[in-house]
Amino acid sequence: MKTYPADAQHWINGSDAGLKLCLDCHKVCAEQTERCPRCGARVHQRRQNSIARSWALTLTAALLYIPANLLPMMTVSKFEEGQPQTIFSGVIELVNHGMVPIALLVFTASVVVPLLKLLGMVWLLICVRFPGAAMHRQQTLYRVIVWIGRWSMLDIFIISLLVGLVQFGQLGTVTAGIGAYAFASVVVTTMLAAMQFDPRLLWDAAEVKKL
Amino acid sequence: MNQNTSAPEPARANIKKRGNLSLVWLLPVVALLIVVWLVWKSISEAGIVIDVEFQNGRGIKQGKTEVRLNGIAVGRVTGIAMSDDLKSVDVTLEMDRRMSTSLTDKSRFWLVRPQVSVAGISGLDTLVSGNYIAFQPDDTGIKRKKFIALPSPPPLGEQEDGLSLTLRAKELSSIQNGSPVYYRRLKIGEVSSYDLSVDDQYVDVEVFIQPRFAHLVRRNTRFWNAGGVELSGSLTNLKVRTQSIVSLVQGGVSLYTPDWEQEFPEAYQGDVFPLYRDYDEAEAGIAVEIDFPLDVALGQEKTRILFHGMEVGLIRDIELKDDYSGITANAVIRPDAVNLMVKGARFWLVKPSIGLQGISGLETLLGGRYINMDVSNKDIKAAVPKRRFNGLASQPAASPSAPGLHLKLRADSLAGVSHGSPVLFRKMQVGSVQSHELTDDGVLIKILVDPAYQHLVNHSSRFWNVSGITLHGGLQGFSIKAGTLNSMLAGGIAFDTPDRTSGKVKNGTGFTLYDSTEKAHQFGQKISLIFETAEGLQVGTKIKYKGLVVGHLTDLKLDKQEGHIVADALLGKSSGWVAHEGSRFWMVRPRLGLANTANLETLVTGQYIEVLPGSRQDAAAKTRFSVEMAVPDDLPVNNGLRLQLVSSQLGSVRRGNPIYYREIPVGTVTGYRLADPASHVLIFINIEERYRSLVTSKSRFWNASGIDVKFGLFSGAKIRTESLEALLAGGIAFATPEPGEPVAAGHQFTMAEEPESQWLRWAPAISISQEMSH
Ligand SMILES: [Zn+2]
Repeated sequence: MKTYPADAQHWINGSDAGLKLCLDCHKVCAEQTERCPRCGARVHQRRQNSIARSWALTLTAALLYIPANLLPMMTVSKFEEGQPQTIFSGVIELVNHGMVPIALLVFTASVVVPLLKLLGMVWLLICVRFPGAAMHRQQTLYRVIVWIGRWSMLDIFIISLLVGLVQFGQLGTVTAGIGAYAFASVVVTTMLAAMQFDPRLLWDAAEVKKL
Repeated sequence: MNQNTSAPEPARANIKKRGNLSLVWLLPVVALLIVVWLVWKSISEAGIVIDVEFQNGRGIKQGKTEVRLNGIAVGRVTGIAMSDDLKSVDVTLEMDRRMSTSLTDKSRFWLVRPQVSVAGISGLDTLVSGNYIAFQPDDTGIKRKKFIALPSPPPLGEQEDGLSLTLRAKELSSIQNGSPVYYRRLKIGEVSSYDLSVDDQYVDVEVFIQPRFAHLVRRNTRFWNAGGVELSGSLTNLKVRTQSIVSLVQGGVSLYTPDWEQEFPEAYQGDVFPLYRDYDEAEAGIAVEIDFPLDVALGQEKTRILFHGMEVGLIRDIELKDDYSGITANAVIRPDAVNLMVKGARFWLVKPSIGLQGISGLETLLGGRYINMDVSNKDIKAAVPKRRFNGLASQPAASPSAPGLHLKLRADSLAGVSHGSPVLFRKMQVGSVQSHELTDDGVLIKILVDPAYQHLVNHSSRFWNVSGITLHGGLQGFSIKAGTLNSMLAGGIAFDTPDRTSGKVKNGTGFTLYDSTEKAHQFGQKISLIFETAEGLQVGTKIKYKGLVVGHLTDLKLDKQEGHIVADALLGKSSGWVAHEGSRFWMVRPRLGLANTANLETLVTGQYIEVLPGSRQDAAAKTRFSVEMAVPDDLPVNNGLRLQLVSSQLGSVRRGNPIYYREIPVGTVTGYRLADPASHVLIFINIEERYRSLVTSKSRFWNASGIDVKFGLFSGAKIRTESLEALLAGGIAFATPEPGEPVAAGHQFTMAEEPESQWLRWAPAISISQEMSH
């Protein structure tokens, strides 16, 4: 058992209480429990290798972010005429057509959000490594990242929808570009990175800081 | 991990989970590899960025317009911007890396746009794929990154090897850049440019001949302007020459190499040729001069020179002689007709002439006047070249040495025959009229029968005039006679040769030219017929015997001394036996009357002359006859019983009245006359042969004309007549009391005015001749 300074706010966490939480069904299990008696999931005091995996996935996502933005996402051809478009050129085209709000939306969803997610993940991981930052903000950031994660599939979803729907032969077709695969990979890897990240580590880090 | 529990623990955990960690770290490594590969790929595939200056940016789209080399995209427009001075457009191209060595100062760019013109559609592919920038690489120059685009596609000649020539023209006419050059209507090159010559006197047209056609151009090749429509000649000989629709609009140049000239060396690069105005001018032939008299009007258009219908040359231009004594025509003779330009060749103008006698030179009305030429075989063989000739205003007579049969025809008048009129045999032309001249007793016409047909003429040949149309006859059947259309219009002479075995004729033999085929074929016996009046008579009136035509009148004339009409008649070939003592002629003309209507057919067929040949076989020949104006009363009827009736009055008896026996007609009244002395009238009747037995010496005749009306108090009125016909036309009836010996011909009876009543009751059983009854 540890003792904490008196001026510090005192928490009792699961490990202190000899308890573990099943992250799948949120059942509180005994410390020695290997598998959750309710759902059968493996129960850990803290997720194993969480930091390393998160780093790896975040790094992967960051690397893939480059081709996702530089390579064409999709080609919309009308009468066999079509120019492969990257996310950015699509946004510019939208702006040229006067659809600034949609352009902003696309820009935000496709460029800014993934980037912020990546940066957020990196920030969180750094925070865990170097305790000291405000825990509240980190927790909020984590929640935002997880929440956004489900929406970042939107682009891919639209592209796959278009590719499936718009197949009118010579009149018009939509084909996904290699950038779409990179983009999908970015989305998937950032989600995985966020999932691999054990938020309890943040709390541990906060406690270390308090010490 | 247990980072939260104690500090040293992570190290322990890390060691334990090493395997897991390395697997996870594979992901970023793979991602890194992918990124690195993508980056390398994009860098390696990035094009060479060059700038091309275009005059305008029309049709160029950023990001879309491709740069193509032989149809393959080798670059793309990545940017368009106005140049600093706003006079041109700077187009940024991203070129394929592989083009790096080809981007030199000799390389060229130009924009390809669809061009639809009459000359064809070019750049059709751009309609679908959009405009593109054509790239013509050249790796021999100095490498550079800035280019100036050509304003239009480079001319053909500069793209390939080939023959570049300069054509020197007086005027450009419809030639343009790109106008095609044709050889036998095949496009073998095009006009690459044109400019005024250095001295400003000509237009120099630069043409480019494709390499594979370069050998077609030789030093003697002629070029002419094939643009536009060229009309030459006149109506029938209208020549419309145009090489193609393209050249019609775009102009064009044609070339040919005269094949009659010996082989010339091939043309060199840059040779200068004259560009003729048209084909005819290019066809430089042999120049000859023909002197015509002043009155020969050759007209403005090019006059053709024909040799037996073949065009052998053209009159280029005409000029007055210095002393105004004539016209000199400068002619160009086709090189292949050079053999005809020898001493002895004759030229004359053929022009239309329309007169009352006919039309001659009809073809020139449509085809324009032309110069005809002729030269005899002898002269051709002699081959004495000559370049200056004397022309004639009209066709000369064939030279006596010309092959064929030369004949002289004597005629009363020319009647439509003129120079060149055809001589026809079975309506086929076998010769022509060469000349005609006036003589003391008519006209002498010289004709030439072609050698191939001269065997058709011999001493039995007969010639007649077939000029124009002859109408013969009137109502009795008319005929239209015309030789051929040509002879109808241009006059003509026909002949035939009845006896092929007759002796051959020599050149210069004379014949008579008859006015018509009839006259030519009058071979029968001529007789003279004398008429009291010519009424109803005309030339051609037929002479018939028993309905068969045996001759016709050929001439009518008035004998002033005698006051009668003398007609010449021609008897048919085998009808000469008519012209003997004892033959009788009379007119058969329509008779209309209440009592007697006869010969109605003559109303339609016309009057004719009936002949009754004399019966005596040994009669002397006679050629002059008087024609009775009506059927003779005493005409002996070969068939039947001829009787005479004696009557105090003729009454209503007329010629042709029937003779009734029991109200059946058995004969006719053939005539009547006053007896001599004139105390009574003689009526000639004829009883049909079959009824001959009905007449005996006891027969009684009475006048059956009129109506016999009897009145009785109880019987009422009784009207009787032999027949309605007899009532109207009159007639004679007879009765016989008993069978008896038939009377001889010429027996005379007295005719009673009316029958006695017992005559009507006689009913003898006389048998009628059986063989004649059916
Ligand atoms: Zn559970």
